[in-house]
Amino acid sequence: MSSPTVLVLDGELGFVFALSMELSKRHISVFPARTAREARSTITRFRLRPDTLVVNCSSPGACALAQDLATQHKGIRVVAITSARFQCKQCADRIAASLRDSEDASPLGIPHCADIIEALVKQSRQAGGS
Amino acid sequence: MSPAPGLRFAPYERRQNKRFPITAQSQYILGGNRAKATTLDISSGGVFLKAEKSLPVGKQIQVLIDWPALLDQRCPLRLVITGRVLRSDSAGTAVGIIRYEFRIRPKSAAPFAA
Repeated sequence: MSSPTVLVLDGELGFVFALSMELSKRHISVFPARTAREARSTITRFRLRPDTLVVNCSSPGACALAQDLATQHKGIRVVAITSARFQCKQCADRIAASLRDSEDASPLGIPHCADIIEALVKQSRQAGGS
Repeated sequence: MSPAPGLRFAPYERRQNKRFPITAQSQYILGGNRAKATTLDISSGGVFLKAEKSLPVGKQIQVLIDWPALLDQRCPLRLVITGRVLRSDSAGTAVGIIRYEFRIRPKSAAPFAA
């Protein structure tokens, strides 16, 4: 069985580094990518099958990447993060509809983000049978 | 584009050049010389590190940091930051990031933390 893997598409270096440190304590490998193009290249280069994709909504091509991976990899979970606003109305509508409590839009700390991602990785591996 | 109706956001920009306190062993290359340093914080715009001595302001510098996880539990990565020394004093050295990239760390190269 391959190790749990998360692909993070975000240009915020400090955030990605801090998240990687936290997830490495949980034995989850993090592949960083700054752009959707770099993410696709990383997937090809390492024959990657991520359990979870973390994308910054402001990254160009993030939505298309998420859709492609969801088609290719059964069970993959996608975490969309945003700091200010959505680039994609479809994402904004979907997330707004999923929030029962608007306070859920409050910023999360790194450990909390890692908790969520760890849980989603476990879900993904159960759903994907990997 | 405005956020979706009914969706509220925290009243501040969460991550714009936010500094993340990250302590990691690293090395820097400046003027062809390589030396050890420790990062104190990292943001999208810069890295603040503690070196054994003050560094010359304005000089181009390369900062090497081991990525905190193995790729697929087997492949070590190294973050290579190219930047410029913005200021340097007893508190540390601020490096403005020009660009950065990830490289596979050669198996012959020991990790910085060792």
